[in-house]
Amino acid sequence: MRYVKISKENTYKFLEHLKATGALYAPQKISDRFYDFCAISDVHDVEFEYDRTIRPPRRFFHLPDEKMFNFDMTRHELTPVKTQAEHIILFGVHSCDIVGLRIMDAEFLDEQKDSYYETRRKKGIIIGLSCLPDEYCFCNVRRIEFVDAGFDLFFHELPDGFLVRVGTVTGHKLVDPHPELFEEVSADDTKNMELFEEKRSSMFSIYGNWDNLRYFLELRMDHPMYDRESEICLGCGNCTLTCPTCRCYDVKDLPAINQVNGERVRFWDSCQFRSHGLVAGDHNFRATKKDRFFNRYHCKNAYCPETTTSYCVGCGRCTYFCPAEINFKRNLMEIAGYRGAV
Amino acid sequence: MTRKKIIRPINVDHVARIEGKAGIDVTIEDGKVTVAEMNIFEGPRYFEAITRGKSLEDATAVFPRVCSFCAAAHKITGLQAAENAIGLEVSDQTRKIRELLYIGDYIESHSLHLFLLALPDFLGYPDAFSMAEEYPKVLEAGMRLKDIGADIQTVIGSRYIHQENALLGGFGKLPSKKQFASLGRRLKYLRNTAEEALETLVSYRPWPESEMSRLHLALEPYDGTYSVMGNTVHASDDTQFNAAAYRMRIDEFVVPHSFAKHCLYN
Amino acid sequence: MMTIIEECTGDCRPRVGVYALTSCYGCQLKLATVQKIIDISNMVSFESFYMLSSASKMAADVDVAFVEGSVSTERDLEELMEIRKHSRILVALGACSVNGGVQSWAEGEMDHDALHKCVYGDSKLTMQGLQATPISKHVDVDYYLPGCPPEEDEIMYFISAFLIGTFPEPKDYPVCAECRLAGNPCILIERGEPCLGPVIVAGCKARCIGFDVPCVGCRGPVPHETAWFDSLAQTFLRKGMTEKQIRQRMKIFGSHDPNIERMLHSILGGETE
Ligand code: SF4
Ligand code: SF4
Ligand code: SF4
Ligand code: SF4
Ligand code: SF4
Repeated sequence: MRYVKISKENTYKFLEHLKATGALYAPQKISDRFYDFCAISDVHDVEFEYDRTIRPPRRFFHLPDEKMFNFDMTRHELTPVKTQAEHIILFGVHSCDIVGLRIMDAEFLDEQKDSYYETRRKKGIIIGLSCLPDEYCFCNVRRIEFVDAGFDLFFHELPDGFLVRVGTVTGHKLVDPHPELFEEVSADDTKNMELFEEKRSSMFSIYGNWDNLRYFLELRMDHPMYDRESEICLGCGNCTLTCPTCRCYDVKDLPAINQVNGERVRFWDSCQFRSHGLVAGDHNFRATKKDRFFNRYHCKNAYCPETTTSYCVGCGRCTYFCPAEINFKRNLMEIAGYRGAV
Repeated sequence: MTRKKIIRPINVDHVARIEGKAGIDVTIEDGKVTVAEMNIFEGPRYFEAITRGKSLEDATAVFPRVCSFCAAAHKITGLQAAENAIGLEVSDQTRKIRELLYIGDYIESHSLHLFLLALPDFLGYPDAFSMAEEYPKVLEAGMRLKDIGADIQTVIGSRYIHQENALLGGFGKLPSKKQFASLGRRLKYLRNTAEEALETLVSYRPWPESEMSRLHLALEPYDGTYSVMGNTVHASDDTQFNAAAYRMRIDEFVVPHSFAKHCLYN
Repeated sequence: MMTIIEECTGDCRPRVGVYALTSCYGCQLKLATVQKIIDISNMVSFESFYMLSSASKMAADVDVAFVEGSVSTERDLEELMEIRKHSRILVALGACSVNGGVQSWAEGEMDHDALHKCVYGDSKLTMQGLQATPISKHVDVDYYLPGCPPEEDEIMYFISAFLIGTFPEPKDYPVCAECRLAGNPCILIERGEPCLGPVIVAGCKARCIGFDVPCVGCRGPVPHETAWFDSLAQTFLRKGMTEKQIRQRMKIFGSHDPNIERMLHSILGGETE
């Protein structure tokens, strides 16, 4: 792997270059407590120290709401909608979200190719950014706090700039044309990276490895936690809609008023909603709020073979953005009997 | 021998092309009108009662629902009343933007009433749809005026029926300069359309003059411009009073045939 | 698939009636002012639409009737029965019709006599008012189109779906879902605003939160008994709202929800059904 260094000042210049390459999105503050990946017009608005974005990065590749094709009911014809993707450059993606995107790839590229996703994802450029965990984070016990794939560049914070890992050919192509912005990595820089990593590790609220969690979940399906917590749950879907690895969507046909044309759209769904489990004959295989609540806990903690991790990447969003303040991490620890600060 | 009285009743069960539900009963005895009643059978919604004891925030959210055509008026009036009650002064900016919201409502409501509801009567059609083919131009002009009125309300108030973005003391989020500028451009552009449409409208038929003695009330604009907000009410008999004194000057009373109350000015 | 037109000669357009009971006329106004209203009027024949046409009748034989307004008078009730008899499909249009509307806000607090007295005093009227109720309390309703007022795209969707002989699929998830996708910050979490988004049915794309205004619930509770007033009441209590504030706010558009009293009672105590 190639490593280079960039000063903070040059980083802004580099961001300017990125902006000229395609649509640049990076974290920005959108309110007192929240951040989101926003289209960047002024590179100085980019927030380098953010906790988590309210919308997960998957939304750039699997659109929250998208038209799939137009149809004509008299000619029985479909006209596919062309996904014209320009380069989508995501700057400032944390490790958890990078793995999140790889999980999305596993579903939408490896398992069942989805052309809508593929077209956009091929145009995607992912630039990672190091972070310091808060009490909501638990990526470490998910074994993904340090990523070695899934990014084109990864920026590690140094006192005077960033140490950049170049992950792909695309990454090289971004760095190579700008030798004036980058320098070689010195021994001091490496030392500083080590210190950063050390500090970072010491800041997690829990330690260990949660690989055995899914077995405990299966063994304790009747744990009282589900009753207690699902009572408080609003069924609002914020947990799944903010999650970087939820993939459920619904499809709907919208006829036009002329009785001839129409369009098929798809949009993000959530297993926290009643109709997610609704099938023909008005049968619902997740009829109660508790069934739906239970489902997320098991879906998120299942094993993703492609990334060899759980589907949950420990980003903390489902707790941070839960209006009912339901603590996913604490509830999981309760079931598996893990110790540690919540 | 007494002559037999000739009594002719005229009953309109359901007046069409108005906002609301009303009927008209007229009785003519020997050529003289003896009964003329407008019967508002539109059901009561008891706003005065249901908002009692409720929080100002919730109550002012409910008030626009009094009427969809003039929702912004009810919203702003409710807000002003609540602010008066708690002694909250709003900024000039808030007052001005509220006024603009109100004006949007004016434009929309008047265009709808004139072009969609009244015009078919002048031209002898049951509705605007059926006159669309014969008179597309004036109808289209009316609808464009309606649209700009509606869009002003949507941009400022969140939508043109039942605006939620107008709160005690101000607004949730204000439109951007760009949005205001684009409304301004459209309004200027529509000026000729508006004048032409109005001329066409009044040209269709001589307006019948009513000889009844009537009394009109109007607000004196707070800043001397052509506006719709103020505190002094002027009557066409040259009297005037402060809006806060309306209970003294306007007597509401119930008539048995109507859910809407009647008023007397004194 | 249900076909609307079976046999016809002459004007084969589906017949539509748009009626009002007790309301602000906003739902009809919304329907009348959708951008494609002329297209709609070409595709269907409005047999009755008092707000727009003097060629209207109570009640016309129609394929689809859109009924706005709550049942708030005896005449409303009679008209509703007539409309039902003459309509193949009956759609409840808007909050008054679907949920009883804001006029139901004092449900459980003041009965009709008290309401009448408060507004009309001891005066007697020749017409009889009633405690406001949603139309489903009196007749079978085929579809619900919520909103105060309903959204343009949903009106178009309903009419277009009927026109091709299928049925509109109702939404059964809350405003929060659309709020999150719209990228708004959550003002309930962040500022403790009394946002009803979690219990109110989606469809408005979280219109108000986009203006930084908390949802007052104008689209009514999420259907299929999945509006969790009890859970939201707990959240609101934690944010420092009083029991009275919570109860009153949830009842603006939700007072006729079958679960609201029981759920609020379980958390707040106090009055039950
Ligand atoms: S975000 Fe919280 S309240 Fe909402 S559905 Fe998820 S767990 Fe339940
Ligand atoms: S389940 Fe929660 S913590 Fe895990 S990835 Fe999803 S949002 Fe993040
Ligand atoms: S089932 Fe639920 S938890 Fe699993 S991916 Fe779908 S929305 Fe997310
Ligand atoms: S602001 Fe309201 S609607 Fe939006 S997510 Fe929060 S609670 Fe839900
Ligand atoms: S956010 Fe709430 S109050 Fe606003 S339009 Fe939507 S449902 Fe109605």
